[in-house]
Amino acid sequence: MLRIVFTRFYCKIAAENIIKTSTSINQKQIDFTKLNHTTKVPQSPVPTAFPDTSDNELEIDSKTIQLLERLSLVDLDSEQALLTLKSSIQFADKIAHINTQGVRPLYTVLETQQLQLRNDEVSEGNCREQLLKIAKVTDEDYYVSPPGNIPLEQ
Amino acid sequence: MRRHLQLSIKQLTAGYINGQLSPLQVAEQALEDAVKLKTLNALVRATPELARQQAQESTERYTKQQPIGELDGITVAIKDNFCTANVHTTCASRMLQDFVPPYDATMSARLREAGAVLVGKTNMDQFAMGAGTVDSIYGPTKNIWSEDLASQDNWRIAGGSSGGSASAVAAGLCYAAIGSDTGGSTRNPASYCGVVGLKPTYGLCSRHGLIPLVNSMDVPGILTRSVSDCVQVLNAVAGPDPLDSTSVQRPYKKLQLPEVDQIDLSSLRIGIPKEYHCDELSAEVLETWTKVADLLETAGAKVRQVSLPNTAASIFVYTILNQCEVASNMARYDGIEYGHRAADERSTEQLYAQSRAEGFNQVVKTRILTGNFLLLRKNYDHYFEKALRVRRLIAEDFAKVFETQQEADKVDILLTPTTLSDAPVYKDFITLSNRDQCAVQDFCTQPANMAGIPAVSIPVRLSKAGLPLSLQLMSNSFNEQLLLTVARWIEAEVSFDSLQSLQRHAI
Repeated sequence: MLRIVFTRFYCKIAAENIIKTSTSINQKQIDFTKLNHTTKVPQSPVPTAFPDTSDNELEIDSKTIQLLERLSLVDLDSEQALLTLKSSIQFADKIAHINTQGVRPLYTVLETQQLQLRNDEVSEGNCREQLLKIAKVTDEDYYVSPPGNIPLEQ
Repeated sequence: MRRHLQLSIKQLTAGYINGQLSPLQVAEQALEDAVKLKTLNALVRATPELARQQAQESTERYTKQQPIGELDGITVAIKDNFCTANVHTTCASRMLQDFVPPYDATMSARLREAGAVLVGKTNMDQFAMGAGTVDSIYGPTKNIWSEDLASQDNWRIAGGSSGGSASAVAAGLCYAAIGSDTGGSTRNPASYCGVVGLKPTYGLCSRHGLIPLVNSMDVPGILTRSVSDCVQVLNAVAGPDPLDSTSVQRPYKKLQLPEVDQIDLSSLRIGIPKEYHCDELSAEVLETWTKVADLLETAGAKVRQVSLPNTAASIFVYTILNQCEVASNMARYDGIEYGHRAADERSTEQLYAQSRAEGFNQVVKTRILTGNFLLLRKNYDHYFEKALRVRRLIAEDFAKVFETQQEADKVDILLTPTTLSDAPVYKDFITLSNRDQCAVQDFCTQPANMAGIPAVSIPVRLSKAGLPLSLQLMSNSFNEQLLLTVARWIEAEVSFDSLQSLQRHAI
């Protein structure tokens, strides 16, 4: 106990010594309303024109919903979830009017760079035990799953 | 307050070298403070044993006068979506609640190799999908600048999704924290919590072991209390990584910023992109933005207005691409190899579906479903490819101002707001849907992710409510040196005290 008290005390004094010499900048008082130049910052919002897409016709039939659930392996389980999905799609409709004729898709910002390829040599391995350890159910050297080839109940 | 918290990383390691301080003391106090400040919920998991062991080893190295790096003995925290060998990595989700990775993310490994002391893993929105750190299975993270930390729901949010990292740095639980940044997830909480938040150029820092959200935009981020600390951490973690094919292969040259009084702004060209003044921008942020532009101009920089015409479209493009990549990325979680496994053993598909139903929250599920809708064969061109085309327009807007042949039109740095206001009150924030939370708060931050360019948020002053107000600087890819030099100049000019909140709460 004594030792801990001592180290704290010591530490405090030491820190003060360092602080005194280096970080004693006083906070300057800046008047944020006073300017020396005509400002270049626009003082009112720059208007943007995006169509209101919240009333866009959007039919999502039950076949599509079933397909989405099967692809996603996630339930669209409530009226609320369906509404959120619809509004997300309408939100995505906002860029439909932008002219992109002749503009190529930008898949990656590294498109001008050569992708680094390594030599086709084994550089890692022997980690079977480590990896199997983080699975919930295993049997000897295998992952275990229930019977396959049974369609999802919907 | 712990006096040594006011030291920079350089000063702290100087204190270690001359024996005035020891990594063990600093780590012990950080662990003690983490317990005292549990109400913040910044850490989802403290790592006291590891911290003590690493601090002990570091102390021994200093005793032998053989520190291994510039971060030797520096306390750090890492967001819970970076893998840490033998330390739980949960993404704040039920899906990965029990996940203990057998390997380190490159960011974690490089911090370890530089001698840093890990005090814990930090809170976040589930799978980093959010802008508030309010959607975590461990509960929300509080902002230490809140007027009232004890109230039920009247405190300020930390921002997100790296809210735990920002909160931990602001509260002095560590000197630096690693966050991730896909649309602003490092800069947004840095802005609310009054700390420096850097989103490096895409490809500068390795994503290996960062659990992916949007691969084409994710970058590791750095949160610190000063620009020079940020540089110290960046120098330790940046550079090519053979384990990440998207890390850029050119060798990393360590940054060295000039001393503040040596910084010359007279040849600097600053652009003010007018479209960043959107409807929701608060008067206080506008005033801060205006004043700092004026300070730069007064110091000799050439400040002028520029136009990035596709800015307002960016948030829609971002939302589309985010959902599409999420739909694909989240496909890996099936409960078999790792992660949550449901008890439903009727069939493989049933097990997958049930594990995912139990493991993901509503936000994650909706993004997966929406992403898969946007990617359906009949929708692919209309939504996904369209968004990628507009993404090019957004990236070209930046290229035009940074790389134009017309010297007179060129700018070196863009100055904008980071967030549109100071930190919202929790109970107000959660009345918005997750999408609106992000669409409003990420307005100024996500365009940089679209283009892959570096951006940094720095605190400038306090709002009337006593909360930090911050601004963002952006520059061309791999121009971190200039970006952080200008950030450092502003930092010195406004001398914001990141630790002031600790005095307020008498901690």
